[in-house]
Amino acid sequence: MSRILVIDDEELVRNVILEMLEREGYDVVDADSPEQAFVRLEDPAVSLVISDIIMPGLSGLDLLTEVRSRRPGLPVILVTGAGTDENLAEAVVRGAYAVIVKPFSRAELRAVVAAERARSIAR
Amino acid sequence: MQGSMDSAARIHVVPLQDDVGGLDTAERAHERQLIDAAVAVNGAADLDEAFAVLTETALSLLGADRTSVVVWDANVQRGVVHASAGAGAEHGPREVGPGEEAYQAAVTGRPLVTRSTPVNDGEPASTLALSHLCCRVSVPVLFEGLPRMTFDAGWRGDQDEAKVQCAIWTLQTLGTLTRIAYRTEQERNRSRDRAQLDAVLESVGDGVIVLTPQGRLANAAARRLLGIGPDVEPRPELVSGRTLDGRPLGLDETPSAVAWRTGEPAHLRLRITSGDGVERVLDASGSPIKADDGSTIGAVTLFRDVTAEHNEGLVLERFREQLFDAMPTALAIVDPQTRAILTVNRLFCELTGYDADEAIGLTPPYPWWVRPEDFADADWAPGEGTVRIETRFRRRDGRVVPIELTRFVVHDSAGRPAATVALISDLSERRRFEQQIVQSGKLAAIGELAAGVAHEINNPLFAILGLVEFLIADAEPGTRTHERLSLIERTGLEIKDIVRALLDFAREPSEERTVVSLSKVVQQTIDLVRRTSLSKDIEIVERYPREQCLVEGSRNQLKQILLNLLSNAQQAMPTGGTVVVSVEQEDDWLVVKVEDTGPGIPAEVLPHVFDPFFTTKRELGGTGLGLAISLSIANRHGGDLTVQTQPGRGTSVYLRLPAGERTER
Repeated sequence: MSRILVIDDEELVRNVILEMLEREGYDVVDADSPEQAFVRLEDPAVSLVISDIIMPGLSGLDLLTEVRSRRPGLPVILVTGAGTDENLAEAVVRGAYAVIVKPFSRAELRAVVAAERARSIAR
Repeated sequence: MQGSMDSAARIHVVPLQDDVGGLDTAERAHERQLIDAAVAVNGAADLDEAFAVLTETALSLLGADRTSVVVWDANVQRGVVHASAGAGAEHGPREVGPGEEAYQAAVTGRPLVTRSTPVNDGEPASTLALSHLCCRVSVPVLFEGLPRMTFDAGWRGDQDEAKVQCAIWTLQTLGTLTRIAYRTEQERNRSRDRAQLDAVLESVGDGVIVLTPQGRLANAAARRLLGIGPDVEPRPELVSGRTLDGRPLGLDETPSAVAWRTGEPAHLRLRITSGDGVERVLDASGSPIKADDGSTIGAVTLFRDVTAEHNEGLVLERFREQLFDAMPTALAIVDPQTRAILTVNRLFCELTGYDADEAIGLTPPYPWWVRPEDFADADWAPGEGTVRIETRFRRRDGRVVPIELTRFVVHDSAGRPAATVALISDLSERRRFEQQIVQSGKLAAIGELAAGVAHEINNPLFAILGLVEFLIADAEPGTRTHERLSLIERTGLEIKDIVRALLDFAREPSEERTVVSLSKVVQQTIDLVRRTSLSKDIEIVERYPREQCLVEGSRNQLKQILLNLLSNAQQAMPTGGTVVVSVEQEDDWLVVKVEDTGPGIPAEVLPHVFDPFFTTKRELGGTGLGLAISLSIANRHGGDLTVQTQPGRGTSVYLRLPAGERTER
């Protein structure tokens, strides 16, 4: 069972991402903070994480590192509003699968997620 | 005067006889009357009363029908009948002129007897006119050798020689009494005048000192101001006088001394330490006292205490000067008529490089003018209102500075132009500042702002675009709702592009600089444009030099500039045209010229083409950042980007970059 965990502190943004994925037929769960996210990660069905980078408390990048240590191999896609070079570079270094810059369309999200899913299945 | 001309022909002068016969009873009575008259004259209250006594006495003594006293002016030009008695006595003064007997007597200084045939026209005795008199005697009365009065007597009937002689003698005696009356009167007047003068002098607030060879007089105010007691002679040594700058004043330099010496009025403001030790500032005016012959026989000095006024004026003057110098703008005060510089402040000297001493007194054309035509006389004529000129000044060191000059005319209390005030601002600082703002400050500020707000804008923008996308997906295609939602989406995407462009703009160049061939970069970019976005109506002509044109820089950033320039050229020619792209070497510079055949850039738009967010193509997706970013990249490469345009002919954009090593192909 493939389930996607969406983490964003902004409810409106989170809900839009959720609906985009739902409309693509994915099974989704959400978290509004890294703490809640770690609870959701107990669920073994979660096979992909999509997280905002800029959040109060633990940033998306720190969360990425944490996820990599808790569940190595679990792919993480980061979402950012300000695609600065530093953010992108660090995200790649820390092992993010991809970084998507907001605002993105449903088609863009679909392309990235679909590509990752295909890669996961192929493994 | 009537009748006097007729009688003039019959005048004959009778010499005065001094020997008069012995006294009989009648003569004693005569003498008695004279003594009474003398007593009466002496006791008379004034000259009029004395003259009345004298004319009455004469009338009675001589048995005359009429007597009168004529008083003459100093030059014996004009006489006035001062008193008269007897028939036809005149009331009120009557002028006596040449041709009358009294006049003849006065002029010759000798008694005059006239006899004439009386005109008998039946007039009653009470209205006796001069022409009715048969015999008349006029006796001059001399004061200090000059005839001052004439004493006249007249009879209806003819008088014998003895009677006439007696009359002359009597009138002379009475004349002596007249002199007494006159002198008494003069004395009375003099002491009254003197008392009045003294009272006036003592009561005036100004100090008055009168200097004559006989001595000095000072009024109460003078004694108070100079600190001299009432019984002390007001000698100048008692007061130590100084000029306003403190130089001791010589005794021959006081206004009274100067007026006496030169015979001309003298004015001086001076400092004194008064006799009682008080410091004062006095305004003193000395005037000469002149004798009748014009020689100076003394001097009068008037002075008043202006200490408070002077100190106040001094403080104000100093305050004004300091304020004038401290003004944060260059100032020049100019004579509105001659345009001579009256004064300038410190900043003016700094701005022009000329000292105040050098500037003051100069008249146009001033040495700092670069464009005298900017100061046309008509514009400078003293009038109402304020005139503002933007021009340039040449400093004394030759440097030319842009300035803004504002001038206005100050009027005096009578409304006449009193001074022209010119305020001059140095625009070079402002210009530099403006340029910095535009070229670096503004861009840097925008860059910082962009990175900061991009996240804040992108989150809600993502929500809007995501939700709109859902709605579009749910809406029936072709409906108004679908159409409008698509419009919202497109608008949202425009915002996305702007924010993206801002972020690109803010991003520091991450790409490493290498030595690249500018010709190759241009070629590659044009290829890209040809393959992707070039309109089929547009032809691109390329011109390259034989040498490789090498520059040190970022290939992608240089491509970005060219893409921008090509895109602009293409958008400038929606109906098609030609773009000529050339690469040339000019000394140490490589120049890429992108020339279009579009309509050119309007003059009002040209100054703004490099301004961030300035665009005329918002509807075509223009962000207004293309040229701003291109200029920023060019600057980062040590180069420049300039625009030339000819309305109706097209626009040329020049990218200039410092040339790197040259290698032969």
